[in-house]
Amino acid sequence: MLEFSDIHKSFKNKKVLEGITSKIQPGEFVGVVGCSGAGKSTLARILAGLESPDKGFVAVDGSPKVALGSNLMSDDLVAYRRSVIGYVSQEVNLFAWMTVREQLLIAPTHVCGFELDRVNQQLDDLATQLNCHELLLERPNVLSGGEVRRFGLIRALLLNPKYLILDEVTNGLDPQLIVKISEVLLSYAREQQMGVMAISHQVDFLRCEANRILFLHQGSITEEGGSDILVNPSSTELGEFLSYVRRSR
Amino acid sequence: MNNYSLNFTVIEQFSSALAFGFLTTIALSMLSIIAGTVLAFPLVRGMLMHGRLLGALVNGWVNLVRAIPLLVLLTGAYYITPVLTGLKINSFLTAAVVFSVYLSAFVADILRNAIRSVPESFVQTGMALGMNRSQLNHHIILPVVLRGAMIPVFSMYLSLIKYTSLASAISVHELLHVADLIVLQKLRPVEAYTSITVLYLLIIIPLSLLSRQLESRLGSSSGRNRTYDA
Repeated sequence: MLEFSDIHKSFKNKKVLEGITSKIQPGEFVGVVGCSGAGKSTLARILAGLESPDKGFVAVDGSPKVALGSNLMSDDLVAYRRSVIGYVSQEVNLFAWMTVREQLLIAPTHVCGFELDRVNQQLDDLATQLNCHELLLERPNVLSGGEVRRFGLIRALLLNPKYLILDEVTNGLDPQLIVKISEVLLSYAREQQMGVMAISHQVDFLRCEANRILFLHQGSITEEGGSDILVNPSSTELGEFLSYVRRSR
Repeated sequence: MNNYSLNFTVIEQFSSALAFGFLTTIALSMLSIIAGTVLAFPLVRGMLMHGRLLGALVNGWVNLVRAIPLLVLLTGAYYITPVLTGLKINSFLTAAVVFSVYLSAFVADILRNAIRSVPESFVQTGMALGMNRSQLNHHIILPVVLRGAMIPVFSMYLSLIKYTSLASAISVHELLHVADLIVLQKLRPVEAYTSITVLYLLIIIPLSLLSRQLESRLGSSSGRNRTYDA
């Protein structure tokens, strides 16, 4: 279980997160919703070990707390990013100087030391499931946005993380692709007992797939519960947010 | 042509001097390129130390060297060093040291800019993939820096080869110095300067072609990095 407790973060004098506490169970799919500026991406980056909180900690499977301190390159945090957390951001970077396959293999083989044959097999399987296998030998400059997103997800999954943080990964993609990605992701998560936290504005998708929903409002979790809270919200803030989502469709 | 008849047979009498000048130009260039490039690395390290005295000093040094005309640096070093130290110094060695120092400042500046151009999002991607500092340097920063710096650095090398002609001002027996000797002794400027131009081209053209090839290879293999931002 990934527990995060009392996470605070300010940028200059602006408080972005104020005492966020929750957890992700192995195999659980947690959806995070909230307005822009609610602190969702900052929370994702802190949990991914890419941003230091002003206060707070995470604990993995009851092990001693991981201090998300100011030194982002400390051995503890590097090990946490390498073996515990996978992170796919809104911005997926693929490097132009090598083929997709070459760059997807770097982290599993050179960083984590996984066996090349096994990683190649896993890469082939995931790319086939996501309908992008024929692009593995291409360079990234010929890929579309949706293809880059799929490879960003595959790159994270190849590290076999225990918990995966997705920050608006499906935004801007067509519905068919969203369904395909979620099918592959959820089946992989069930198989590997991987906990997933997905930040998304796609409320319908979360209502169907998420086990639990966190609603962030002005840096705090103002409502937390099963996916039914996206139908019958108890807080006025979530109710307002959902009415805006409906109107924007 | 004004009563001037070309006579390249004169040049044959100076063939060994020209060969020596040619080799001296190559040796001076190679030595300066190797030493200048090696010297550039500690300079870059110093330049990237923000807010520290050493960083400010190194930046000041690089800017100073880049601001002074090369001929002034060269003649200054050659004539001032004996006055200050009382030592009689070798002109070839002086030229090699000055060219190395001069090149190191430019290469350091190019490398510093290439390092600064590495997108922060690339580094964050590497961190998210569990890379430690040395893995980030090896897999992400170095490839970006090499691609950004290789062509301008190579172009600087080509310029330096041409700048070696300035060493004739302190009597280094490189190509231009030999041509000047031919003119003084035989009054044959057209033949002398045409001959050394051909010899310079023999050095520069293959390197220019190599540079073009490198440029097109890097261009086709790098293209633009692909980022998809929602």
